[in-house]
Amino acid sequence: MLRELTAVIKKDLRQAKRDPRFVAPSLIVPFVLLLVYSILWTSVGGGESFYCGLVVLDDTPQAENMAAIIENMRSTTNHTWFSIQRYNKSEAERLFSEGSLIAYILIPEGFGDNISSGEKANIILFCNNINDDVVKNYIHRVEAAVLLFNQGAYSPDFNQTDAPIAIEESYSYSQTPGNLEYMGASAIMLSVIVCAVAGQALSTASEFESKAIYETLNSPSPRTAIILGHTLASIPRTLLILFITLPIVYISLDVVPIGNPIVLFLILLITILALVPFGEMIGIVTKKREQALLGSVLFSVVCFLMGGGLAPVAILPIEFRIFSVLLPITHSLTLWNRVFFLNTTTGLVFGFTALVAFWVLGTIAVSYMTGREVERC
Amino acid sequence: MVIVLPFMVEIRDLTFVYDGQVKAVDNLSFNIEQGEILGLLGPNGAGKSTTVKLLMGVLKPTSGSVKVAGLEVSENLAEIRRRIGFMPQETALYHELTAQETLEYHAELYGVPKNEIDERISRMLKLAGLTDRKDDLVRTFSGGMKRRLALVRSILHDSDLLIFDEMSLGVDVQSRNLIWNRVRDMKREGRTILFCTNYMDEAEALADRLIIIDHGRIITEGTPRELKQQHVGEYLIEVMVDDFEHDEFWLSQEIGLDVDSLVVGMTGSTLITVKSDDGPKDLPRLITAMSNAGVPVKQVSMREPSLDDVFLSLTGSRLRD
Repeated sequence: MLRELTAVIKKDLRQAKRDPRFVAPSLIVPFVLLLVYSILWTSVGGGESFYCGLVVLDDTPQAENMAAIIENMRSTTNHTWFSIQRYNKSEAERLFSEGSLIAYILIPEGFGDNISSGEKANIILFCNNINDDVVKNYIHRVEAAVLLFNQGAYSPDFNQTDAPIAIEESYSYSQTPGNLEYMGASAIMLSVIVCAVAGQALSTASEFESKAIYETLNSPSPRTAIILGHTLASIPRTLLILFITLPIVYISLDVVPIGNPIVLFLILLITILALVPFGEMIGIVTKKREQALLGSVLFSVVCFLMGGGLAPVAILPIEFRIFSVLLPITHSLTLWNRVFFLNTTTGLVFGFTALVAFWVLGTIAVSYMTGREVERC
Repeated sequence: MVIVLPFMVEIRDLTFVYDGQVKAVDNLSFNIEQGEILGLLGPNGAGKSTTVKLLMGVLKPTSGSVKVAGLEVSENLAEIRRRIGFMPQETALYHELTAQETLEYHAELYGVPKNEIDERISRMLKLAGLTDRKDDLVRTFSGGMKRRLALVRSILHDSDLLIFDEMSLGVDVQSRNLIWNRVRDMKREGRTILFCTNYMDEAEALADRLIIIDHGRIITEGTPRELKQQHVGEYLIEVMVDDFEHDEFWLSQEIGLDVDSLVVGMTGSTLITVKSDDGPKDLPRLITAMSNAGVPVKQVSMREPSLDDVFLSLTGSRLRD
């Protein structure tokens, strides 16, 4: 089996070298998305579509004044604005735990009494630590509200010298990437995704176009060896794209990985293994190179956007999140961005297991589909 | 002591039903002897390709048995495929590989001993007349060159049974002759060959025996000569007449010979084809009989029948219609 495996790998790599058309979308797609994403974040603003909850447990006038300031603040920029929605405590907790709410502000009981008695009063911000820019935006909002409250915005005769509440600028959240950093890291992964899917889809479709696939499949070689050979050949073919995308992302965005390079490499490896069968399926279904190219780019981009490429999955609506778990790219992006920005190896088991499962199931599906195709030819 | 060699191919009561609905092969039985060239003829959809797929183990029979060299195909797939050399209708070559790489790849897939690969490949390239082009990509080859490469690829692993599907489809005369000569060489080497074709001249030139199938069933089988004698006769007399208003039955009665077909042409003339076992004797008699019957002959010719005539006689249509 090793002999057949080697033969298939050598053949696939020779073909890729002589027909490198799959490289083009692997470069174009990530950088076009990166460009669009940069424009979106810098000119439109990223936060105004996110909801922020407000829970008021204190029924004093001071608490109501604070809540009114938070609710009625207007920004002169696009960057730090959110839709504020009032909830009761249990509902806010539930929505927050489900991920439907990114953050909520809690004005606790005793807030007004503390202010009246001259003691330090607190408001609490619960924020899903998903993205540095998002977290900062919420904090800025609270800071602005506190400042307005201290300035007596609620009252015509405010006294700023004796500020009743304050924010301590010490937050217990780990460092998370900014939007462009996140997108830069995702662009690297996207180039690998497109390269893996488009490369295999093109290779398979071209074998169907020339009917050469039947020569391979009618041979005495086990079908497993042939499919495994295709998958293994796709690893060097795909990883080559990193020689282009990594320097470009580093030079243009100054983004470098923080996490363990070996773990990052393993994530890329398992991503390629999980995605190549999808490329092969696209090639089998389309059977034409042009259609395979189009199909693989569409598949990659849609799954990338659904899988957390545009924004972390955690801030997507719950319905999308359920669907996105069924996409291999979701797990690749989650693992990649986690290890890319954090020097950690914890919390990776589920993602790795999911990708291995996608690889195994994909390979079984490809084996079945190729068998059917040979019968129908 | 008598040693009974197994047939190279033994097909018994073979039936295959696609998706539980379409019966592509219907109770087919035939054998191919060691060293024999068998031609499988039939119109598109007759069941030729399905029979080949069953023979190669790509499909599993719905019922019946397929044996190659005494081994049941479905139970010995890898071994059977090693013994079969297959050239599909579409040459099935990797366009981005060179001729040399194509044969190397095939050798690896079919487990050719490593120490024999180079020698075998150079022999095959010479056989195909492609030694000078061995490092050129297949996509730069002409149709004929591709066919020749596909042909030698099928025998690279020293297969006992060769299956060729439309071996000379779309190639120039030069390549066609070369392919035919190589097929004859292979027979001389003792290989067994099964080929499917739509070219009657190819079937006649190469086959020791022919099987004509339609709707998955054998219509007839025999040597080309036997088939012609059995279904057409020794001669065919073609008579052109104007304003013919009768039918075949009437004419047969008048001339005392079997009328094979009546075809009305674009100009209104009718071409009558008559079967004859003794053409030189029947020809003048036919002209006289027709004149006496009030059907003056405009033009007449006589020829030996072809396999196409056999096919027409059996199915009512030409193979390529």
